[in-house]
Amino acid sequence: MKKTSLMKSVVFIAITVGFAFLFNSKIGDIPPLGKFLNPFTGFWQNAEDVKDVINRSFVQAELQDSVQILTDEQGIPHIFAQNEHDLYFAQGYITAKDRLWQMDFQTRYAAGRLSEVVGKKAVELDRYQRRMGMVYGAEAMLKESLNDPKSKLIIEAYSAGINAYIKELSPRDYPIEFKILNYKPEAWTPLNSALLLKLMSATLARGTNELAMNNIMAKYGAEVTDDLFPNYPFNEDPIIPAGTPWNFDQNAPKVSISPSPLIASVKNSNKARKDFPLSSRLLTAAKEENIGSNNWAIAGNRSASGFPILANDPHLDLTLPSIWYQIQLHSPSMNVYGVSIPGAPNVIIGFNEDIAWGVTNVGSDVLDWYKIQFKDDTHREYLYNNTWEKTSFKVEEIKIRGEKSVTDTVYYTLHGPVSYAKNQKPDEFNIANNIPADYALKWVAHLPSNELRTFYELNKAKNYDDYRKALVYFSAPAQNFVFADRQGDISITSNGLFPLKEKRQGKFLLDGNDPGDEWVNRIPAEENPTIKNPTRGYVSSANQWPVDQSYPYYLGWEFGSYERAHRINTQLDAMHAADLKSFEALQNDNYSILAENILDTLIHVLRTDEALNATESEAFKLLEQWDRRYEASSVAASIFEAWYNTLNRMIWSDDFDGKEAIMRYPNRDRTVHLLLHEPTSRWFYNGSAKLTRDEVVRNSFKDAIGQLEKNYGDLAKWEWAMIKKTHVPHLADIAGFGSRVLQVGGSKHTVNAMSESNGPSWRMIVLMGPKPQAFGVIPGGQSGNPGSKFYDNQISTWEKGELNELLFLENSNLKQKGIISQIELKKTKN
Amino acid sequence: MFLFLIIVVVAFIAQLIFPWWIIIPVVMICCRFKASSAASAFLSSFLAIFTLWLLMSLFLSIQNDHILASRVGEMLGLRPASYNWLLVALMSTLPGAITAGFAGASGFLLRKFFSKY
Repeated sequence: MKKTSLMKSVVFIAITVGFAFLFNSKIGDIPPLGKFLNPFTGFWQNAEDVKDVINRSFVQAELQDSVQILTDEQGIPHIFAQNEHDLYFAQGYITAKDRLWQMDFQTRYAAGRLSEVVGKKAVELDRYQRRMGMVYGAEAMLKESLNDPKSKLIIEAYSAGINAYIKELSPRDYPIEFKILNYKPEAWTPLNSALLLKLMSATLARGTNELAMNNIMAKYGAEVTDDLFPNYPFNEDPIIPAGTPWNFDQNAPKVSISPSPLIASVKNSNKARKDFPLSSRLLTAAKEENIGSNNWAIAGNRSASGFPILANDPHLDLTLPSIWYQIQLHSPSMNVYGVSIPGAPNVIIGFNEDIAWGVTNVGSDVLDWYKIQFKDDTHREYLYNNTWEKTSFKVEEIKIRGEKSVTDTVYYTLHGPVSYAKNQKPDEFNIANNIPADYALKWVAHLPSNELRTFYELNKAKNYDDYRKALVYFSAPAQNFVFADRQGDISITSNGLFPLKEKRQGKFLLDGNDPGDEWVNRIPAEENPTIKNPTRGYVSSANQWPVDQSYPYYLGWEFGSYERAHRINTQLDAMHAADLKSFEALQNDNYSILAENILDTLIHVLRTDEALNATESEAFKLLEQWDRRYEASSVAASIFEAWYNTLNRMIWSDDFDGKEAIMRYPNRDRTVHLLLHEPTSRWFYNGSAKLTRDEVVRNSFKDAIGQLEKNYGDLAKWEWAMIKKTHVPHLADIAGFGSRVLQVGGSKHTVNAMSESNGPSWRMIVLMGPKPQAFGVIPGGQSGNPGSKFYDNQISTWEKGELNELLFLENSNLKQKGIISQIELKKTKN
Repeated sequence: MFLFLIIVVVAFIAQLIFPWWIIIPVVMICCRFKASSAASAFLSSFLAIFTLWLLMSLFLSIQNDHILASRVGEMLGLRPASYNWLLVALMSTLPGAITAGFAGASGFLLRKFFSKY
């Protein structure tokens, strides 16, 4: 009897303990269910009270004075501090309160530390980030920033604010993603902020085509390569208007460069995609022709108010939590409003009482590969200037959750890290395909820099001179800084550290032995392309070429195509008495310059085709009547898009698919020129079939219509928004945490640049005046918590193409319109 | 019924301070002293934690307009539906209720074992 009950109790206790253990462990991707689902410490604790408007106060011993943080109806904080230390402390504190997991995860992503929290599926990605020198670059930046007392104060106070917030948390308060992935927030360091700024460089300035270009050169020779990959486009509308004289000595560099066409054998890239989801957001793959942004400013004599108006919409791969964090920073030395990067201090794009500024990416060539000849397999020495130099080894330890760490040795040369030595390259990791083996990476984002100081100076700038002084500190990723002030000045500067290069230096792979192939210096900062108050009455940029061919320095050979820029300039040329509405309309403009350029020709070709079936004829009719706008409900837009993409593939895929060695297609500008002016070109041939342009145009139309029919059914269902399926996914692709499919128009090459999940990450319009009036919207919301009403509350406004008026406060009075609650950070208890 | 109520109250207070598995000792001790059979110990414990967790989840979800519960429902693979928050709340009770049930029965059996001395 006793024995049975003992047995029984042992069995039951074992079962109990078994369940407790099971429900407290993360198994595969399933969170620990007891921990996650219980309402006392699990995810239910992240379900914020939608009516919560309670004022709170916290004691923070590190403050020098008390800080008021007012929250408005959009959940946006307005910080009022008595000194700069407290201002950035509070910025760190409040940003962490809304975005801690995003900050943690992106930092790990940048630093190659994701495996620590998601396990071995991220090892290859982690290895890649480290091999590209992300931490190496962030450390160089941090060192430089800490040498500047101002930047040091800002970055350290900001980190302290984040850590003060983390210290207040108990496990029930952790953001939900920590609970799903079952890990804890760790202390923040200033290096993390530097890593996040480097991540912007990785997103915007890490594209590389050198290996593909080399392979093309090796296969087709110089003549074809120059013809299909020209050094300046046929169609251009440069940022600094063509013909603008340069007001400096035109002493271009005198360095001899001899690009050596080496063919690198690269494994076939058409393997199944096995990368970690986030890999799709990395861009070392081909330099992306379409990513980019718009900004412009119009002078007072062309606006309704008599003061300048400025607009900016940076396009990025959209994610939730939102990429940007809106904030107002107020102290005795500044009053600035705009968007910040969660995890980095200052406002990045915004306005103050006197000025407004915005940025778009400059696609200049700031990344090169240098062939390294190692002496032997030990990799201890390599050849430079025909002498053996010592390699330095950096051993990277990648910690893996639930498994033993792996170590990885990266070889550093005087050019930079050898991203992948031969036999270090992974077999199935697509984003590394464009990286040549045994080459060292020279990248501007590895150089010491102090971008923080630029933003600090812009945040408190009062006029054009302050703006110009602020820009000098900025290296990477190079940006077109548009500017307007209330005194009436407008300006734009393509700004960053541009290496001083020989023409076409770095279009192909370079020789690491030859000192002549090195970057010797930089383009003087004051000679970066810039213009102030041009006669045309506006400035603008959309990632196109900054300059015409008279600019004496070499910036690169390929920039974003000109279509968006051209449309913006055409519209601005015609804009008089500009106001909020006309700027809003231009940000939402879906008109396709690509269609304007080629559709008439394509239609003309197709008109002679007798053999169209019923669907094809109907589609053809729609195209004839199309207004060339990628509206959400347009069926013709879907047809044109499918047709052009098929046509592009049919022209180039047989010659440049890169089956034996990685290659790329010629760009859109060149393709359009081929279509319009070279109808019998050999590039229309398909293998031995000597096709003409007209045949390829017809074939591609039928093929495209067939594909649409197969994938989407009846023609009535081909509405552009339904085919494009724009949506905003969660940063870690957690189901249910992203947005629904959005009803938006626009395409990659329209001003309203919108693809599946890339688009305007922030739309801003600032009307300058005695007091600035500003409008803005993000595709998401302020809070990073999926359980907050502020997680995605702005997304419908964004979807409609509308902007919210931004609340720009002058004082910290709690009882003013639009304020719903207050957080007070006190130095000591009362 | 008394056993049920005492578990609800003690488990509620204990979970404000300790991790979720604190319900195991709570339930074991309550059943050690108050349960009349292994089956009733199991049932009372299961239902007590089921009820406590359900009420607590619903309280939090209602003031949240079910924003988060709907998202988590989708994460857990439920098809989008207006009542998903309730399904999620019901599902959420299971790990706790099951563990509590076995813990309750263990508590009762332990008493039987110790009472022989």
